[in-house]
Amino acid sequence: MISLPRNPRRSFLISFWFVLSITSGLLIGITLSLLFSSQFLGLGVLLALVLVLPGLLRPELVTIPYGMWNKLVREFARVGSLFLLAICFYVIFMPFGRMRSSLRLTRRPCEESLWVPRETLPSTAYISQYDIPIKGCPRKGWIPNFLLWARQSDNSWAYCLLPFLILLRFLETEEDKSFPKNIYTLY
Amino acid sequence: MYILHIISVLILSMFGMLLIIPIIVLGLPLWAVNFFTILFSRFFGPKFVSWQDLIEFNQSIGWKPKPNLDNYYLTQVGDGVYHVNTDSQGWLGNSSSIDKSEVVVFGDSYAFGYGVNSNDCFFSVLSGKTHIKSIGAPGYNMVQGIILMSQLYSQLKNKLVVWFIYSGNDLFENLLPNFNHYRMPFVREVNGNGDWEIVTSHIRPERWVLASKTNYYKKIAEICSSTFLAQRAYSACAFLVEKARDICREANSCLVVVNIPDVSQMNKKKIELLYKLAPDKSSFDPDLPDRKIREICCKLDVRFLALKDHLGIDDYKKLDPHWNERGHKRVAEVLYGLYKDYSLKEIRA
Repeated sequence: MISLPRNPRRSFLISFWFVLSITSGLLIGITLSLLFSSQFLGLGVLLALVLVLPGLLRPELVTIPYGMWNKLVREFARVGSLFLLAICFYVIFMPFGRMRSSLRLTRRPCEESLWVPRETLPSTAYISQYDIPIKGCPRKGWIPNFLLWARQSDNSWAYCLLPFLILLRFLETEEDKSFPKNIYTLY
Repeated sequence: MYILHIISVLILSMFGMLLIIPIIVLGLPLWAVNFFTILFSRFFGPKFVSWQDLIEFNQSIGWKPKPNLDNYYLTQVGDGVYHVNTDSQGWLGNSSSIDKSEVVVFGDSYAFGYGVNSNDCFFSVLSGKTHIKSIGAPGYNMVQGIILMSQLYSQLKNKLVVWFIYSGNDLFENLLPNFNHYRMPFVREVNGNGDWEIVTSHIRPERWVLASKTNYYKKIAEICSSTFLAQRAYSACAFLVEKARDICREANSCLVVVNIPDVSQMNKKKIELLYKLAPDKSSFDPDLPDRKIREICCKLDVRFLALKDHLGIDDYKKLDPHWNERGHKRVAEVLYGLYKDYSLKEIRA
């Protein structure tokens, strides 16, 4: 969720430029005031105001920097996710697989079957079998579901995965969350 | 042993946390820009309402725009926020009523002006020359058009009635009882004898449970080929056009059927995609809907116009299949031409 919508509407372009201008103006002002004199803070504010203007007047000009920024963010998210998954695998999964987990994280001896019995899924799981709430979970959302699953399945070690999973969620670059659901449909 | 296990868990996760600090440090400013951009975007654009605030349940046609709207909505693809206004009956544009209009347009989201501001819609840009009243809402099929025509027929007297058929989904959706989770009127064959009937008995405010997603391009490809679906869709279309003709004859109005092509039927690359998806490639023809509907109209002595002859790819939006401002202008010119022809004939008559 760190990337912006790929096809921005006008208000997004203006807002993006506004945020960038204000941030860069203030950053320059604060840095100069710390290095030289506090009068430079005012200069930073002035610079921010000047920078904001082109985005407000001609938002279509912002399309290029917006696209570049999004490209950078997506690349960061891609590399960051890979790095996070690698840490999860080598630092958490591998050692725990060798220690104690009800999950089969390491290879079993050849003679042992890897057959896992499964039950019929409820009809609510047709769209996504992983999004169905766990029985007894008081609240919606994936975090309470995950914590309850870890407790019920005797995988308390999985609590340690939570910060990594939250960070992975932030590095998601899915598009369809940028606008509200149920647009164009009643339900 | 258990304590040792707990300690090792904590040590390993702390070590993992240390490793992810660079990602947090680098990612935080990026996330902050995203967060504040979304936050401030509310102040730089009009406030929009959800789709539920724009439409309401209607017992005869399933759903209908709410009366006296003056709101903004966000398009499905999120490419913009657009203004919509409706009259006291819930139909588009609050400046002219059906009685005062010379042209009445029936249709779906194209008639609604989906994806442009109401001031840029085809029914608004001709306000100085002629009055057009548009009766339609997103997702409507032809059956809903027929029901509305019969409900409003007393107001159609001596008017030019234009019926927009969007061959991208209307022909196929005439046969379906639902549009996503909405219940909508549809047509079904009577005992397989070639006759059709309109079904509305299932329309209730309750959600339609099975809302399977259809492959949009695959359905267009099927409609553009000699398939069982196409055969049924054109047969149902003939039944509905005949119904519309009878209603308009009774109302003493002139009916013109206007076929709206999907932009994929005009784009070389997309035509190749449709060809690949067509179940019967030998019979695939992107102009088949135009030809078939023209045949139906000729047989029934109804005037037909193919918008494919008047529109180009540049008249469509980039992210969804609707017209842009330029497209609406072109359509307005076409409608004005139709109206001039009609009024000349009226004078001669």
